[in-house]
Amino acid sequence: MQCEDAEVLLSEMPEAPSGELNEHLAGCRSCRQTATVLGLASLPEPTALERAALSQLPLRAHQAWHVKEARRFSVQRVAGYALAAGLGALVASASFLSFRAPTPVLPQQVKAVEQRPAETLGEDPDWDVGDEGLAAPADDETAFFDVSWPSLTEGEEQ
Amino acid sequence: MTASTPSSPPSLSLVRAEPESDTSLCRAFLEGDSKAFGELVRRHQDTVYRVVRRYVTRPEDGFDLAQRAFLQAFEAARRTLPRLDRASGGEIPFRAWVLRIAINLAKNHSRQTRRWRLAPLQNVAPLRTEGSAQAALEHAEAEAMTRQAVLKLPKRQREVFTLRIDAGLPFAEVGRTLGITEANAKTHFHYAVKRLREEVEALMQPPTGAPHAV
Repeated sequence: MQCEDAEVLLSEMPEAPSGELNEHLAGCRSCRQTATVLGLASLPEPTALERAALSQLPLRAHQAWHVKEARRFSVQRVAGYALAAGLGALVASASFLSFRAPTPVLPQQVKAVEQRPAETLGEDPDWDVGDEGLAAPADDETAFFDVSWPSLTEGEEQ
Repeated sequence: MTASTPSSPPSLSLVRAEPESDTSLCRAFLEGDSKAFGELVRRHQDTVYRVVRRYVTRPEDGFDLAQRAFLQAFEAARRTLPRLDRASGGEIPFRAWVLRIAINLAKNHSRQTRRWRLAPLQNVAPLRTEGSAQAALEHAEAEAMTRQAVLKLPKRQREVFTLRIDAGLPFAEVGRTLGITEANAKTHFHYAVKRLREEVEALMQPPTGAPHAV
């Protein structure tokens, strides 16, 4: 028997090894230590008191399940009522908004606005530069530069 | 029409009734059969209680944790059943669910109550009276220390150890419960035992390097 197999067998019955396992334990110090540790680590059997209390567990658990279910249903019912109330309020407000009396339309106020003719730069005294020296004399032809392109018929003999 | 022959009386044979599976019981309960609930709880209550027992110091806490584990497992079954019905097979691994839930609840309980340092159910364990009183005390102390060491094992090793030693599940079912392979469960168990042996050996050795009295 290998130590791995002995460990598996010891985990099944750490308190009462028998047969081939006993022979292995007699010659293997490591497995004896494993048996000791498993024996120390295993818990004692449940007492008669614990077993008696445990036999009531199905009934207790069933009652707890019913309480839990009742609470769940009540929460669902309250949530349903709240949802229904919210929807009702939404529908009511929408219908109120759509069916309420139309508000009277006030006549538009007409305001007389004084319209002035379009102003030009020349007429506006504010835009008058007022610099007499900059203005070229009307009869001074030297001050005129024709920078436009020549016409298509320029230079042709008439 | 054929001539009627004298027929022999029908023979009755006893047929051993197969126990209902966890899945059919769970289904029956969720469809309204309240007896199925009790049957399922009765079937697994001992295993579940043995698993949570290691983590509690009072039996009442163990009963409470076992009850909560069953309720949560039924809740999980109700959530999962419609999905399982759509899938082929539709088996409910109720035992694995309730054991995993029980382990998690017990672990959370011990963390919340900060009872790691107390020897679990020490008051329930009978004191061994063979041999001298000194030997009995030393044995009780060694048991308490070893059980503390079990609670300090890494998570997976502790789960495997608890399911194997306390619940007595075979390694294949330990693996199914924890979602690991059987070989992996055996490996975790081996390392858990190795670690416990080291802990116990360290505890059993007399302290060295104590200051000498002048």
